Amino acid sequence: MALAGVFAAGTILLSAFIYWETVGYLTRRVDSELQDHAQAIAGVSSAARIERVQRYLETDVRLLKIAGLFDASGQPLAGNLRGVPPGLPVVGRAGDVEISDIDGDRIERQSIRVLAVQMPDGNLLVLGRSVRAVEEISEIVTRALLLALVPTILLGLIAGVVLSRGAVSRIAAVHRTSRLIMAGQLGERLPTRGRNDDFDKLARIVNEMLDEIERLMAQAKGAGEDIAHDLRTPLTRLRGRIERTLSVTAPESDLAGSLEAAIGDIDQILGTITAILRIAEVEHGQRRAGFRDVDLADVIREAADLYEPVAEAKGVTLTVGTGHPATTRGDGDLLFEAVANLLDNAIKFTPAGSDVEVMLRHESEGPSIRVSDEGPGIPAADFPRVLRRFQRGDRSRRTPGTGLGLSLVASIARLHGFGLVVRDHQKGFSIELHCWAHDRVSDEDDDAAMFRPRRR
Amino acid sequence: MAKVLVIEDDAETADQIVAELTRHGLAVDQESAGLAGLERARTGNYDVITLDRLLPELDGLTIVERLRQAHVKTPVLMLSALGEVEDRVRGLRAGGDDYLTKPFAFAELSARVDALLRRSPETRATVLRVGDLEVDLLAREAHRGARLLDLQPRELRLLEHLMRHHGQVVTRAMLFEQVWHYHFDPRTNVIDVHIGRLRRKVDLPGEAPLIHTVRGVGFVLRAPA
Repeated sequence: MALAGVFAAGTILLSAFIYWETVGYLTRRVDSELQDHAQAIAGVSSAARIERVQRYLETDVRLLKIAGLFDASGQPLAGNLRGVPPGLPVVGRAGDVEISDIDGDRIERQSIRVLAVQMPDGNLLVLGRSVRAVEEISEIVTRALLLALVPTILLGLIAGVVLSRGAVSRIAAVHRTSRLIMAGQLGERLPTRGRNDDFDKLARIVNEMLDEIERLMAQAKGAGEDIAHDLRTPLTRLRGRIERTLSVTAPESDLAGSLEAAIGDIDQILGTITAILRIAEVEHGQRRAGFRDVDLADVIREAADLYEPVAEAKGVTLTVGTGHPATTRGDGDLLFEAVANLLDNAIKFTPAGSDVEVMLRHESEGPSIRVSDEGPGIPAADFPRVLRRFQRGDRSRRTPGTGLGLSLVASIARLHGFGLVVRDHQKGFSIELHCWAHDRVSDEDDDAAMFRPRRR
Repeated sequence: MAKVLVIEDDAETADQIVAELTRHGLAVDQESAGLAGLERARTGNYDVITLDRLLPELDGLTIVERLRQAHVKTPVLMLSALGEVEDRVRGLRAGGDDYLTKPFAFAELSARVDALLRRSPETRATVLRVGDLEVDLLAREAHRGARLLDLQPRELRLLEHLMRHHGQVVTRAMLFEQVWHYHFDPRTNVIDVHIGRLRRKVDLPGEAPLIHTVRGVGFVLRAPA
């Protein structure tokens, strides 16, 4: 659209330029012609001048000329003018005059280029020439302009559409790829078309940058996993040694007690390390190959079945609402683990005597699993951090666990391309697993969208 | 005395496994490399083999595959430090009988070795009996003496599992895998709560307890002495 505008404006400007140049040229030519004639007429005697004026008019076959010779009182001596035309330009210089008052109506009222010159004998010579040609040219140029403008604008529109369609589709491709990359598929690269145009150059620069980022990420990730593995080995040995010492220690002694406590500590460290490695494993994304149809109602029932006695033991009422089945594509074991983690979390944080509810909801986009509790909730500002590794809101200070449960749920959601939404409501806190395709699950930029605190 | 072969390349881990299993009254041999391990496993007439997944020369998966090709049916417990999920499936598919992810508690290891040693062909019986406890698998009913136990389906399955392995220590992880069929580390004390609930229905106050907690290891269902 803008392109068509630019095209049209260019055409108009070009036409105007041609018009002004042509008109200027023609006017200058008429002016110098008038000057020549005036000089020739001024150069003869007063008597001969009358005859030269008549001859000037007689050679005018196309009836384009006017001429008049006036004495000092303004009386016409010769020519086709009945009087000195009003609005005559400064003597000696040509100008445009409207003349209607012409002898014998030879010339229609029209715009005429007129030159007035003082003769040596005091008489005034007025010579003029119709500039109809100039007007005709202006008409021709205007017509040509109009004729040219329509195809120009059309051409501009078409070119604009074609160019912008190309650009839009490439931007869309870049957008799609970027979202995949942001969703964790670091191996993706921006598409190039091998044309070496600006777009390709830019894409190549970004791709080189991505290569480097991927390399560094792999390095950092590898380092993290290596550290986890390296920690695991000595801890496992230490645990083994303590366990074996414990087995030969009198069960009533203080030593047995402290050894058991030491094993408990080590188990907690090992649990954290295992959880980190497990999140890494889920995030590798290899498990997508094993996706099959999973009934979320089954998943919820089984997870609730596992946790119902835990809730009962704590005096928490666990309500399960599954409705009709909802099938989704995914890893049933991981989805079970995700729901189990959400329930574990909810039961842990809700006070005794309150309710935890797990519901399968059928929303327009697809099925969603909502686990809500009546716990203290977490400040809305903490939502994004809650799902990140190692973050446990204030509410969890004194509760056992690695603090990685929700991170694991987020990883499982990310693997499936599902969304995870945290809500704070009057009675407590709820987490929803939206089981339909999302571009991203949790990323710094999208925190506001994904973790929008919504009060009900 | 039952014979166990430990194929493990990390010397300290191997020593600890050997010591643990010996303490449980087993005759234990050890190999640290793949080829020698395979050879010994094929010829040694062992009752159980524990097999590290990553070994020099020949990895654990290949060893178990070769053993099965050679029709050696000795139960194999695979040990691995690799990512559990994918690897567990591959390990079991290759012919492993059980799978344990490092790091593991030695109690877990010996409980699993014990389970493999005692593994008997699945009984065809439709009624299981331990002491005065009786489970009718067809009627889906359980009685303790004359008392009908009011069990939910999941509790009945848990009880059935404990009865099939009566006298044998089962760990929380084993129960979670074999009764619930899930393979992750259930947080908190989920399994304990399920056992606790079952125990309150099976062992009433005044009755001789059948379900026992083995501290630091797991649970065992045992007929009163």
